[in-house]
Amino acid sequence: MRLKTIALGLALLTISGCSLLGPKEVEIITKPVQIEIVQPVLPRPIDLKEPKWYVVSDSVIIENCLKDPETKKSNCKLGREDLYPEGYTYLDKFIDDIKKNHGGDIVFFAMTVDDYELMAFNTQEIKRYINQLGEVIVYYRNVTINDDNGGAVEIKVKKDGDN
Amino acid sequence: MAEYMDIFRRHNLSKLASAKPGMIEKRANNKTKEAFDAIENDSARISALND
Repeated sequence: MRLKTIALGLALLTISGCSLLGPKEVEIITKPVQIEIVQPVLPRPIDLKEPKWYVVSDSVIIENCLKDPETKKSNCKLGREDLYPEGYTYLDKFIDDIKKNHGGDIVFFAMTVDDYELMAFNTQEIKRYINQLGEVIVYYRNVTINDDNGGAVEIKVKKDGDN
Repeated sequence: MAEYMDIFRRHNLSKLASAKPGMIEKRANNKTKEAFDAIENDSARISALND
């Protein structure tokens, strides 16, 4: 009889899930959790090499004025340098320079004035993109960095509409 | 940078290059260097955030 009572009591407790003991209050607390965001290493700066542009036309080269040996300044009254033959044009000079640099062969990449302007436009576009991307990087860096000094990071970007 | 494109709007580059190729060659090379240096500086400023 005693065993039955104990078994009944245990069964009651198991089935009721201890609810007979009364509900327990659950406290919900909202707490900001600081997440450590690792800042990615930014790529190394761009290292650009400048190409040399040759501007060529069939204009005759006007030679430089001779220098006054005393003042070391150009004086056209003394005459002009005599480096090139009569009527030697920029095109002649370019062809001769190319031949000299390529073992007598005439070989070069050419570009029209319009295409040169296109190249300038493209360079401007690349610069604009780098600048704007830089602003985005700085923004995200400043809002995700935990370091107190992190908020002080700034880059200078021209705000003239095109950049 | 917009000033570079403005040069093309203000001048007839074909005419100038045809008449004075030596002068334009010098300016084209100088301005190319200037533009590339500006790009290098911009990227260097962004990379400096690593420090």
